[in-house]
Amino acid sequence: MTAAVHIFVWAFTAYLAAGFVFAVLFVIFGAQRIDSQAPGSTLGFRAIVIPGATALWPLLLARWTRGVGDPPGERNAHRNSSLREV
Amino acid sequence: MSLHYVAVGWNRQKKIYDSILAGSLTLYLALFALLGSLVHPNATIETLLIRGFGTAAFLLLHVILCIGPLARLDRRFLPLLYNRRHLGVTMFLLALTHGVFSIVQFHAQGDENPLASIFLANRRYASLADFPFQPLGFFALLILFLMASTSHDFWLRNLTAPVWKRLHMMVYAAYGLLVAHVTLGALQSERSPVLAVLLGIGMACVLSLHLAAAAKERRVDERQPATGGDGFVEVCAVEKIPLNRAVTVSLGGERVAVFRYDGKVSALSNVCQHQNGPLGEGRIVDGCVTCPWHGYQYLPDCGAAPPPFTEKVPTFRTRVVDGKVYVHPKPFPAGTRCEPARIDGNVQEVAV
Ligand code: HEM
Ligand code: FES
Repeated sequence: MTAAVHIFVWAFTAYLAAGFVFAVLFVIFGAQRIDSQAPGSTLGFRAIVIPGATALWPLLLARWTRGVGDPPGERNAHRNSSLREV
Repeated sequence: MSLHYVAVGWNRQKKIYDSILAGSLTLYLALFALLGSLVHPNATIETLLIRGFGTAAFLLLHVILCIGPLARLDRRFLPLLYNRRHLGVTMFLLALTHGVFSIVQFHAQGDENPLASIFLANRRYASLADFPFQPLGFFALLILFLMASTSHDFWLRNLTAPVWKRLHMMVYAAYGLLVAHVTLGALQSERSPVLAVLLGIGMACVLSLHLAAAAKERRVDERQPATGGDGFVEVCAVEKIPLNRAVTVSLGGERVAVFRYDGKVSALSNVCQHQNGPLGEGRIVDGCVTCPWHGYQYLPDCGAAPPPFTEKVPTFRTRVVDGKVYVHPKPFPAGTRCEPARIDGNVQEVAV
C-alpha cells in the first residue's frame, strides 16, 4: 500500500514536472506550429494554455513532432456521411 | 469566432455576469464565516475557510450542472449558459483553495510527502463509517483541473468539440466522487442534519432536471419522418416553422435544423462547430443562423460563418411542395451551398 502510493505520487509529480517544462517551451515555440490561429496571439493566451499543456503534453508533443499544421477536423454522423460517396 | 487567441474574451455581458458571480461568492464566504463562528465558536479560521471554500465550490457545481438542462427546458435560462465556462473555472479555483488549505492543514506537518499523506494518513479503506474520504476529493479535483485547464477555445479547436465534450462529461464522475467525499467525510462528523438535507435537495434537483431534459430530447428524436420515393423526407408543414426559427428533425444519426426565413427554407446540421450547441434552438439574426449558446453565426444557405470567420457545418437539400417541407437526409460537406427552397404564397404566421 505505502509503496504503491509512493510510486503513484512519484509518477504523478514527474509527469507534471515534465509537462510543465514542455508547456513553457510549447507556448513559446510550438503553439504557432500546430494551430494557424496561434501566431500573433497575446501573452495572456500563452500563459493560460500552460496548465492544460502541462496535463495533456503527450498529445501536443505528438502533433508538434509530426509537424501537423492545424487541428484535425471535427467528426460526427453528418460530417462523416457528407464525405462518403452514395 | 476569433482569428487570434486572447486570454479571456470579455465583453460587457460577460463582465456583468462575472461581477454578479464575484459579488455572490464574496457575500457567501463572508456569511459562511460569520454564521460559522457564531454557531461553532470554537472553530478555527482555517476550518471555516476550508469548509467555506469547499461548500461554495460544491454549491456552484450544482448550479453549473443544472444550467444545461434548464436551458433545454426553458429558453429564458440561455443567458446563464452563455458564460458557463467562467463558472466552471471559478468553481475549480474555489475547490483548489479548499484542497490546498486542507493539505496544508492536515498533511503538511508530518514527515510524509503531503500528496502521499492524503492516501496514507487514514488507511481504513475497508470501513464505511471511517472511509478515507480525502482521496475522493483529490481525484475529483484532478478532473476539475483537467476541465478548467482545457476550457480555452484553443483546446476546443485542438481537441475538436466532440472530444472536448467527452472530456467535459467527466464532470459527472467528479460529481459522484464529491457526493461521496462530502457524505463520507463531512456528514460523518456533523451532528446537524442541515448538510444532509441540503445535499439531498441538491442531488434531487440535478437528477430530476437531467431526466426531464432527456425526456424532452427523446420526444424530438423519436419523431420518425416519412420518406418519399426520391429520398426526400417530409418534415412538417411550412407554417409549423416560426419565421426566422427552426424545427429540428433527427436524420442520418444526428439532428437537422430546418430554418424558415425570407420566404425560403434551408437546412443545416444542428451541431454548432463551437461547442456543439443546438443551432435549431437559435434564430436568424442579421441574415445568419445564430447559435443560442455563444452566438456563433452561419449563413443559412451554405452553413459557413460569414468571412473572415471559418466555422462550417454540413448542409442539406430542401424542398417545399403543397405547403410541406421536405429535406434530403444525405448531408453535403460542411460549408457547401444548397439552393434554399422557395415558399410560394403567404404563410399563416403562428405566435411563438
Ligand atoms: C485534494 C483534494 C481535497 C482534500 C484534501 C479535501 C479535504 C477535505 C476535508 C479535510 C474536509 C473536512 C473539512 C471539515 O469537516 O472540517 C472536506 C470537506 C468538504 N469538501 Fe473537500 N477536499 C478535497 C477536494 C474537494 C473538492 C474538489 C470539493 C468540491 C468541489 C470539495 C468539497 C468539500 C465539501 C463540500 C466539504 C464539506 C464541508 C463541510 O464540512 O461543511 N472537496 N474536504
Ligand atoms: S456552441 Fe458556442 S456558439 Fe454554438
